[in-house]
Amino acid sequence: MEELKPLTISSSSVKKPTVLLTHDFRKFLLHSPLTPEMILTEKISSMLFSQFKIPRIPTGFFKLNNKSYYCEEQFESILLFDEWNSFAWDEKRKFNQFVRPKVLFELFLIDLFFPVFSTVTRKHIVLGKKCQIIGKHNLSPDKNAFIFSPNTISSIGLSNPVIKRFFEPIKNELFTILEEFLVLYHDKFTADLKFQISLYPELRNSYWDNLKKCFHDEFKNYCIFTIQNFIYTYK
Amino acid sequence: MESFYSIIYFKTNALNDELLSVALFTGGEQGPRMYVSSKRMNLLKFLLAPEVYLSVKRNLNYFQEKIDKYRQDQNELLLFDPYYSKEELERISQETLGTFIYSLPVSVNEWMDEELHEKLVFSLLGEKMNKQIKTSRSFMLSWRNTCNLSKFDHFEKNKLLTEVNKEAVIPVKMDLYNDDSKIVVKGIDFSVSERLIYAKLQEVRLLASSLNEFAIYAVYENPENPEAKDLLLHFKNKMKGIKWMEVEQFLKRF
Repeated sequence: MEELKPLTISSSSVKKPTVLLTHDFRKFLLHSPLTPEMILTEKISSMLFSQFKIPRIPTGFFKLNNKSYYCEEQFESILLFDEWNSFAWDEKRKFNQFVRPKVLFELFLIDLFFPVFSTVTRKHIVLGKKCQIIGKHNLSPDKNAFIFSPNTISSIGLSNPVIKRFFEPIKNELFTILEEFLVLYHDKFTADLKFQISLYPELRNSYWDNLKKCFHDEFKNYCIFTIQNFIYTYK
Repeated sequence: MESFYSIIYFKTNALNDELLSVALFTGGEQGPRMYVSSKRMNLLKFLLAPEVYLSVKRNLNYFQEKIDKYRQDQNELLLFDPYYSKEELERISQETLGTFIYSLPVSVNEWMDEELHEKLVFSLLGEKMNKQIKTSRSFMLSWRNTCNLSKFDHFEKNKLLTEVNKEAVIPVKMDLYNDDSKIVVKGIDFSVSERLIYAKLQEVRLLASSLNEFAIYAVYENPENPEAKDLLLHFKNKMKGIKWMEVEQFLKRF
């Protein structure tokens, strides 16, 4: 998360100014005031995305009068990945426009294996010559937002037939994607996460209590079996 | 289900308040309808990068196709909640993180049908919906249907010249061919470009020179283009051995 030095801030006739323009002409939307919990959650979220090589919406923070605000980059044209927008992938011809469709499956795997964030990952489609999938966790300024709450297939949205339809063309590769995901999910990564959390003395106990439950073998096996059951429904 | 509409905005720039109302979504008992404003899409063409604009247009078209298909497939009684309902739109209008922003659905106090949809398009977007342009009738398609009529069953269809005359080099296609009555028929389309008409007429001339015993019929539709008319007259005078007929004459003759 970088500190943003704005070139200028938007002017608006209907609401308070909320968008920054940086010196390299990127637009960032002001989200909410930054709290210490958000800094750590953001750190964990960005580590997850970089470890599993999933594209993430860039974020930053902006200081104004000694108050920090959490910002998120705005894209030129972006669609929410939702059943309302199912017209973007309901035929193979339309599906071929996606450049790395397995990213979507990996986003769902993160929802399943790391259910500690307040909501599931937000999934977006960036429109262009080839559509790219990009994701992000929603960070809430609540103090107790980081809680371990296991998800099921339906709570992450995979049971919806319209969303299942997306994986139809790559259904034979889903097992390989799961295996690659598990290969990257190794002990060194969990040690790195533990180390990052330990750098924040006030929060580390509550955060580590919740995060370590994700690393239990029992929970991992539960996730693996759930997702394998899901993949079998395609055959 | 009450009628409602919602305007689909495109957020062109996050820095200013600009929202471009690119489409209108209406819903009612008959089902959802959508209209994409072509004039505003033309404006977008200048504002976005070319690939992004094409992708946005493509996605809007997919959405429209899906809605039209959904509406036309709805023949049975609606037992479950309709997919494109006011409540769904209310949920979608809360999502402000994408570049497509849906306004909160607004009720309309009248039965939503095609006519009201058009009037709303005019009132809210200021555009008149163009009626679908009728595609012009193709001569070759109707000529092919004519050749496949039962009265021409004793003719061979699409025979090549090289199969009949062993010395011929160019495989000119004959639309109708009958060896017993020595009749060959070829249809000529005069609505295409001059170069293509000329090529077709040269083929007919080739048929005339290589099949001496046969009666060759050249069937055409009266051209409207003055250049095509001139060509027709020129070739009629030049190739007097060929029987030139319009389609109606030809059908009466056989």
